[in-house]
Amino acid sequence: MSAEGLVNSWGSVPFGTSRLQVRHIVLWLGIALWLLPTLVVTGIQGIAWFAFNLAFVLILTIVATPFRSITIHKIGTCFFAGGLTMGITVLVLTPIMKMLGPSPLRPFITVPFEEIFKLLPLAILLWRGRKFSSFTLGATDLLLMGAITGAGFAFVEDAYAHAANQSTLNNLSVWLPSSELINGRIVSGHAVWTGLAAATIGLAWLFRHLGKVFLVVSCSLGLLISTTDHLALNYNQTQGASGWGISFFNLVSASGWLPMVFFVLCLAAALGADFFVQLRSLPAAKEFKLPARKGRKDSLESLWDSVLDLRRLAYAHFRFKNFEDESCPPALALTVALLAKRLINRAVAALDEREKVEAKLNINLELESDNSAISSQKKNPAPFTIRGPGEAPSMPRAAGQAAPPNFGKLNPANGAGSAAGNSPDSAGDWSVATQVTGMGPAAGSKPTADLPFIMPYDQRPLLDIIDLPEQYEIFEQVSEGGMGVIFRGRHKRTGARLAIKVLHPHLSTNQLHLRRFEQEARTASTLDHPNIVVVHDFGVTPKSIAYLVMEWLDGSNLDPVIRIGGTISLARFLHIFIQATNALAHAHRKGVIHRDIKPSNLILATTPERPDFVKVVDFGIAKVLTEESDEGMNLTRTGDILGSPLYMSPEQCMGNKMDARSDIYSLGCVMYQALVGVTPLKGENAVQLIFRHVHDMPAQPRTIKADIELPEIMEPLLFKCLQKDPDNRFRTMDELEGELKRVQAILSSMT
Amino acid sequence: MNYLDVLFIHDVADKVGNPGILGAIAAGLAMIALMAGVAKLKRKSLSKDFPGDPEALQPKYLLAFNQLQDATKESQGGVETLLQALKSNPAAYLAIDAFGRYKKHTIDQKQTVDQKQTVEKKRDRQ
Repeated sequence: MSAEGLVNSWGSVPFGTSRLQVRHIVLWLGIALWLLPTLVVTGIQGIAWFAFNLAFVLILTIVATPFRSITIHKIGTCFFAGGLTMGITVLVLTPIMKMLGPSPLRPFITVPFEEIFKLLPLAILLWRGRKFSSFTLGATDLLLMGAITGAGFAFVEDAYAHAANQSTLNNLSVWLPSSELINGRIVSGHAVWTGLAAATIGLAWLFRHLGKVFLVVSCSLGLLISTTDHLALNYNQTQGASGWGISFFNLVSASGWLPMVFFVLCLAAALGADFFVQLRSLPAAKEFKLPARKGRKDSLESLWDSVLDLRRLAYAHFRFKNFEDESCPPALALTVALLAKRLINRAVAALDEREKVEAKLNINLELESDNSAISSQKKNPAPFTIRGPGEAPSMPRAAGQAAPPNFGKLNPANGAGSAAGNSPDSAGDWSVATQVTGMGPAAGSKPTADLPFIMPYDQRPLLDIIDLPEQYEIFEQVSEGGMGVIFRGRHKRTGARLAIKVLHPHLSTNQLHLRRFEQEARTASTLDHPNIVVVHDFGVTPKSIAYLVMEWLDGSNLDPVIRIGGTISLARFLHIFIQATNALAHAHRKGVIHRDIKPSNLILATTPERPDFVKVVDFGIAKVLTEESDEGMNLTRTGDILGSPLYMSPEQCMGNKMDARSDIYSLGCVMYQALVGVTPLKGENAVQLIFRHVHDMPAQPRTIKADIELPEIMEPLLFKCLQKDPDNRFRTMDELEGELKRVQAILSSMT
Repeated sequence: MNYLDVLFIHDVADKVGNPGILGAIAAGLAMIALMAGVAKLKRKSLSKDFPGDPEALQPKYLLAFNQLQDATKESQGGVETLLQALKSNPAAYLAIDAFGRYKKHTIDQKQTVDQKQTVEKKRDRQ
């Protein structure tokens, strides 16, 4: 988030050694100007009316707290909006009343105007939130907003019309906040009237799928009852009221009891409806539940914010699921998506927080027990064995980890990945090649000056300038990475669906990148395995655009599945990773080490017969052991650290000799993330991450995700993959595959 | 300006001096100051697809929006295949399903606009 993107409304002014926000000054000035003159002029009566309305607002807010999704901030806005509405009403009605004189018709014009006008702030707020917040309101929220607008309105009117004019309405006989008994007639007051009108609108808004008739009746019912009672009160107060008129209006409004009873009924209905929605609307998911008290690590403010978001999602989802696919308003769909993802992020962040706390606890415990053990464990994490489900776990703790040096964020200009990639939250987003020492173009790489090439920074879309051989037809772009862009394509003669990967034009001028691209093609073509992507063709176009033609895969890679979903079930985990280990074992047997295992390189191809069919992709930085040639060395001797720092093995981080066990470590990192929901190690930047891969062990999965399945088996398995010393890991990918199959057998025997 | 207008202005001036009206104006000021604090992000700096409602202009929703955009872009077969992959996770499924519906509508809308523009261009040429 750039600082320029943040709002600093109305600026700030210096105040001593700090600064005051102009917005806050205006707010307090407004509050003072609103309250003080009125209270000074009206004295004790004004204070009583203020307390009277404030008490009503407070009681109602407390009653609505278990169900409301609006903030105190919005409640305050409604209260002030009510005050403003009253002022505008007076300005508008004064000339009209003057024109009508003492006519008995006066209340028939002023009362409906007032009752409708009081709902104006509500209408404005609903209109303003039509793309997001209006969908997140429950019926109680609207009742509350209406009642509070009415209370704000009442305070100003009472101060102006009643208190200042010594109206008879000041003979308070308080029976319930915002109501009074005068000569045996109950007077509800603006807060109750507007609250009632807003409550019926709220119910209509929540259940609008019931039909237009319900919508119209519900919206108008509250307003009708409120207006009738208000009219009865005002008509009876005017000099022109005749005997039969008084009786008629008293009868219609049941001496003021009708709106009061309806208000209580509507409040109960709104609370009941919201309770039902919150209880039944959302699908059963752990992300949509509040964590148990024991697991909460966030502040009370943050927790309350999440509670409000959870309620907002429940209300929005209730509306969402009542629409057919086509008829659903897009803004509602987006609202549901944003709130659901926000709650998933919150759940993942809670996991992270627990991980940090656990790590701190471990450090303290280890420090107290044995300092020397810490240093030895840092250097040589103890090996361990996998045990059966009934045996006691033998687990090296993620403890005693010295804090890595803070090297600060790497400068993206030096090739240390994108700004987004520096965030640990964007796991796996670091670019494929993260240069630690490189400054500008990698050493040893020369521009292909003798080739015709398009301008590296040509602003036209790649699709417009690409000149593929005529047998290929290219369609839309499907994804983009640091190295290139993938397009959907088709072979014109065979009609085969293809994925065409195109190297970014500005990288096409670099020999090193071109050779890596070519290596991807050559390496993949040596591998013949159902779980490895098939590469059909490679070439460079007349405009020097390098392209790679691969089989088309319908599916998603594992990265968004983990990032969006958090974790996957153990059964699915085993299904996916047994295929991945099988594919990588094949590659290793052929002498190919992948060196860039990460979630985004595991495609979960989907067909009706074979869900989650894994395809390993991107052999761009793979190492061919049988061809330990200059070519292979050239691709790595430039000072680049190749791979994604979140998943790199210690030997890869150190630039040491790598073998198949490096892939086992990387796959272990991916497996850990898929099962636990977070990457095994995190850092502020790539350098910190590299340091941690070399020195630190990850946290014990159970401390992060308490409900992990078969922890006594899975934890040792993961940690065996993640050992710092390659000798302590599984020796081969086949061995790891065998262990995963053994777990699968245990799991299937249990179910 | 006729007599009635003068009377009205006089009324307004009279009422503005009233503590009730002054109070209403002050309440309005307080309301505007409160409302100005809702949005935490500048609308201008965001994508047009992001909701313009000030209550949505929060970093937490923007992060969610960007993540959903990335996830649906990265899915090679589109939203449908991503949904297949997420079917065992109801929370993620809901997020992607809803976002998919939103995106579908946005794409349809863009296509309609493009078609209209094409038709208009043709008409202009004719």
